[in-house]
Amino acid sequence: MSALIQQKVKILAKEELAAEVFLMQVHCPQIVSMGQPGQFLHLRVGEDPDPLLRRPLSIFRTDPEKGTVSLLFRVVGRGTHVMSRMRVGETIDLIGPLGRGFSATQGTRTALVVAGGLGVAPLFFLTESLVQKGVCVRFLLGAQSKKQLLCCTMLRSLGADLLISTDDGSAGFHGLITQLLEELLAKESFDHSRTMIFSTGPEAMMAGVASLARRFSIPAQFSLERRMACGVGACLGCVVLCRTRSGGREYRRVCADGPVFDLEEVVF
Amino acid sequence: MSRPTSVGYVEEILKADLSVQLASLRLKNPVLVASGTYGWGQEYRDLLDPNLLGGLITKAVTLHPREGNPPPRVAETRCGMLNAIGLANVGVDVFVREKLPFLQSLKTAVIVNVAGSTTEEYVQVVKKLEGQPGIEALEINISCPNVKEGGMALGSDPREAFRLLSAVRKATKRLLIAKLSPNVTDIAAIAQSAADAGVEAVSLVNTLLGMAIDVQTHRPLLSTVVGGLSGPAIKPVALAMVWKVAQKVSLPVIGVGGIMTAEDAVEFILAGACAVQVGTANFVDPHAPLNIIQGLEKACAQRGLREIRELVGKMVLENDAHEIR
Ligand SMILES: Cc1cc2nc3c(=O)[nH]c(=O)nc-3n(C[C@H](O)[C@H](O)[C@H](O)COP(=O)(O)OP(=O)(O)OC[C@H]3O[C@@H](n4cnc5c(N)ncnc54)[C@H](O)[C@@H]3O)c2cc1C
Ligand SMILES: Cc1cc2nc3c(=O)[nH]c(=O)nc-3n(C[C@H](O)[C@H](O)[C@H](O)COP(=O)(O)O)c2cc1C
Ligand code: FES
Repeated sequence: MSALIQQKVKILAKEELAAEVFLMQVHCPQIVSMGQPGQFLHLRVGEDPDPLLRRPLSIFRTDPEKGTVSLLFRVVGRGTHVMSRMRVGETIDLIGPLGRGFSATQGTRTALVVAGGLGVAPLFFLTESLVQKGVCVRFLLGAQSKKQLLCCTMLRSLGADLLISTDDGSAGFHGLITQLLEELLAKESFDHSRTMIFSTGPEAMMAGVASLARRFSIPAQFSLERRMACGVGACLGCVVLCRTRSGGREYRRVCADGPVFDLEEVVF
Repeated sequence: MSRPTSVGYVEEILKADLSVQLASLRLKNPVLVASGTYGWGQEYRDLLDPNLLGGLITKAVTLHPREGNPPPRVAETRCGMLNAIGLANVGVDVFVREKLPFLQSLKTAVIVNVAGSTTEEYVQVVKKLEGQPGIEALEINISCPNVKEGGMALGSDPREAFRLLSAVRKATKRLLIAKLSPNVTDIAAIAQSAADAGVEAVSLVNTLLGMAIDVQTHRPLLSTVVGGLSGPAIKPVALAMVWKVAQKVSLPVIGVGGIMTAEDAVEFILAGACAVQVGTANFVDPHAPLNIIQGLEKACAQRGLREIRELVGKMVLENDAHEIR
């Protein structure tokens, strides 16, 4: 198991990318050097006993030169609300890097990255590292409408081929992102042994992606979210039901056995 | 190391002795980590050296592996959290084979939390652990709110508790600690049963029954609807129970419930606890046990105490305060 750190780090920048969606940059060279795409940080929201527990956020991006880590989060409740009010110059206590991240197999030439909504958070870092390894990334980004599309320019500048879908048709493909993926898979014949699907987003969406991956026999990985307490594998609070190799079912910890799970494991 | 300066020498003298005696067990300091919040001792080792702890209590071990309750198993509430883990664990055989070796390598008191659905199951677990070195004590969990059979049901009636603990007592020579539930009318009566059964100490308290509902979806936040409440929210309740039992029963008490800081620990010690356990605080800050140990040293220094033991049960009462309760 890789090493973990707990550290109070300084907030260097904070920006509201879209309504209630924030990008926060912190200084933490150790996370930069240890963190892998798909891993997450467990953040203490403040010193108060309320909200009590830490909140998990994916590593969105790292900058090795500046030693910075960026986090992308949406305000959905009290914890993320407090975080959205933190100011540049303040410190935040983090534990990380946590969990098992994405792992592309050796021969992967093409990655189909499927992000719904905030699912882009762990997939941006993945895309960056895949592009650096010379993998061709087709990034499918879905949202309800144009206004909720996140990080389009940044994704294009990474060198990813960006395909957009919106439920209301206000940008890109009019429909669900799974329909867009289905069209793509049907139109182009991807080499099973050299293509991988990576996906994060609402579970209904990931379920759709999983069934397409099975139908077209393309290996796939999914990053799951569950409420957490410890974040380090100690409390068994964050389990999901998974398929075992022998065909049985067992609970696995999202924080330590995941958050990234293989197609063979996931049960949606 | 160079010769201590005169200042260092003074500090050396003032550094309080934090060791405590729990029946026959000597703890190097009174701060243990609570069952179910520290896994099998390995999960936090990158973040805190487990050898600094006064003791480490494992997740509950049962006779057979248990997969536990369906998710969601945890939820946050005001100043606290609910859990419904359901005693998920690998079972005693795998525990001995795969988890115990790491615990045996530690230089801290290892205490194994034992649970079951029937008296017979408790007895069998205890017997399977009997020959194993590196276990300083067993904490008998008669207080888990998250299982249908056994657990809390066995621990909420003084006679049942006596029967169960007597049977366990006969099965082992080890130091026995009974972990009691706060979800009872008279916790002192249960503690007295534990004493009568020959148990050497009690841990108070396990989680309080609690629940929460998502008002948007109208669904409970836990799959089991009702679960166990822990964290700062339960501290006053735990403290009152520790005080009550320390008054009435002549067994050493280990205080647990919402301890986040050294001040919290001092409160429990003043109320009569000779050691404390840190549970939910580990999730919030893995350094909490160490901060508490260091804070207790400071607390002794501030009071001019040479030994933390001098503080146990030293709550100051006005002469007539007893009458009111
Ligand atoms: C491994 C992992 C990585 C994550 N990465 C990101 C990320 O990069 N960006 C981001 O915006 N969010 C991410 N999340 C989700 C994020 O942790 C939650 O949105 C956050 O904890 C909510 O806290 P809150 O106090 O604001 O909301 P709360 O008041 O706690 O809850 C508000 C709502 O969010 C739901 N929720 C709370 N915690 C979680 C959780 N851990 N997972 C799923 N739903 C939850 C609750 O059920 C509730 O409906 C991630 C979650 C996990 C498990
Ligand atoms: C996630 C979780 C799991 C727990 N599992 C156990 C257990 O297996 N056995 C046990 O005796 N107590 C268990 N407890 C109870 C704690 O050991 C402790 O008594 C309780 O949480 C109160 O202390 P705290 O407020 O410091 O957490 C668990 C508590 C939590 C939060
Ligand atoms: S959050 Fe504790 S085991 Fe995953």
